[in-house]
Amino acid sequence: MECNVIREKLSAFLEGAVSPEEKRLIGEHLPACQDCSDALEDLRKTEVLVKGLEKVEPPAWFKQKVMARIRAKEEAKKSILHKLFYPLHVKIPIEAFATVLIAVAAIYIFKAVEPKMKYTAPLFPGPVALAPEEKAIPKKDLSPGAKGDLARSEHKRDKGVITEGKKSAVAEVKEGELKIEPSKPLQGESPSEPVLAKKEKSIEPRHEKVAKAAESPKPKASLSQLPSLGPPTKQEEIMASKGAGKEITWELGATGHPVSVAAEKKAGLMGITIHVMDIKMAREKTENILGQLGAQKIERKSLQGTEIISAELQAEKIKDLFEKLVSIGEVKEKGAPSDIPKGNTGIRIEIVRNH
Amino acid sequence: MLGDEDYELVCLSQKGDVDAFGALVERHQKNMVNIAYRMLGDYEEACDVVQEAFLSAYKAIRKFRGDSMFSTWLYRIVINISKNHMKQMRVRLQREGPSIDVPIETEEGHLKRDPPDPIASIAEQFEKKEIQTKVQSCINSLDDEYREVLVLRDIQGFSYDEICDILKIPDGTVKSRIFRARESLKDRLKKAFGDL
Repeated sequence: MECNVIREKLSAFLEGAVSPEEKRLIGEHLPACQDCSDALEDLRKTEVLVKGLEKVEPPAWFKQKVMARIRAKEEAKKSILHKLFYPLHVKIPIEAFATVLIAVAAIYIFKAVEPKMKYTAPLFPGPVALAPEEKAIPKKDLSPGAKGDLARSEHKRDKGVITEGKKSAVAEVKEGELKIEPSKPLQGESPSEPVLAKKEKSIEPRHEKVAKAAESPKPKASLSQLPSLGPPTKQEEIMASKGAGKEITWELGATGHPVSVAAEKKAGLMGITIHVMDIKMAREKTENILGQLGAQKIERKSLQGTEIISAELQAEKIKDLFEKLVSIGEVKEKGAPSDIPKGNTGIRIEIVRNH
Repeated sequence: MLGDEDYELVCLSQKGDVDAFGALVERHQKNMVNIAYRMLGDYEEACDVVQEAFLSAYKAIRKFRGDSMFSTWLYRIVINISKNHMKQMRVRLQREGPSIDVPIETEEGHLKRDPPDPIASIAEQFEKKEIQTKVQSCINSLDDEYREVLVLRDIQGFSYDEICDILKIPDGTVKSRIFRARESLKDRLKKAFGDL
């Protein structure tokens, strides 16, 4: 074995970590090589010096200090967790309960508000059209099926679609019935093409049509859309009918909102728009005029800078109403007074600021 | 982790039992301080490093899976922190220049600038301390990779397998490093003492 190989093994040789064969070879080499023997001796002395290094003791305070630092960190961590989650087993159920409570409250509030929303929208009352027809139908003529339909209609009204006032207003329309063509055929036809009313011998199909019209979303058009209707392009045709009285059908312009206007007509509801400078004063004057004319069930609403007054007035007094309203501002009517049926008529007066 | 005498205390510590970890600190603090001291050559710094090592161990104890002995895992932490500390010290020395506490190299080896401790007035104590200081200075001058194996094998007495676990290096690498570390130390000691 070469000296350099032997010296590489000397460290392991000292620890007894060489194979027996290596141990024998090194043992044979060392007495013959002074340098390698000296190297081994130096290694032994080095080992003695290193192993002679005294063990040091940690300071007495060492553990205390380490644990104090650990506890301080633990406390800081706990305080963060405390703020966020403590007491975990109580807070999570509370949060869950609160969430459920909010959800339930939201559903109840929504349900409570919903009828009001329905109530506001039908100021353009598609569904009101049901009333005169239903009231006009002599009960003796009703087939069992028709009675059933009527009952369903009554049920719908009970849900708040029709106001009490309107019900009573249409109740007095005894001499005839209004009929409106359903919106579907109207959409398919040219605007200029007149739509003719057809006599309905049976009550049931007519009732169904009206019910469809009532369900159609168009009659629920918002109030703000009405003033933009422009000059009426509708043409009405009243045809005498047997038994049930008159049937009214409207030809409607393409630019307007035909169904809502038609619905207004068929309901016996009269729309009047007054353009004024001072809405508040005009409202008071209008209410006074209505009071003087003996109008009933005067209701007032404010909607987006527009005052809306609805009331019931005897048909004979409508002309007087127009004359008096002219003194307040510029009056535009949406239904000719001649169209108004006899008896009490629903009137809706919109007071709009004049720009 | 079977056969690990620290097993129960480690389990308790993993569940957040601070006192159990305190018992582990008690059990291993001496070895930890000695490893750090022989790695750094400074007692105060060694104590600081070991504190850091215990804090790190406590923070990470939930990640300890028992693949090795807890003590092995703990010593690995203190060795790594010591090595990082040495690197920082070297960078600081390069920036600021040597401090009065840093040993200076002379032709006869490393010397401390501090005056002799008055308590060690007895000749034998003085001589023994002087020898130990010189040996430690020689160890301090070794490369990090030689220093750590030398400390673990010749000072702390760990087996080759344990050193492999602690340093996560192969057995052959440990043996060759120990051989070179001893050879290097022998040369430095001869230089420091004149003749061994």
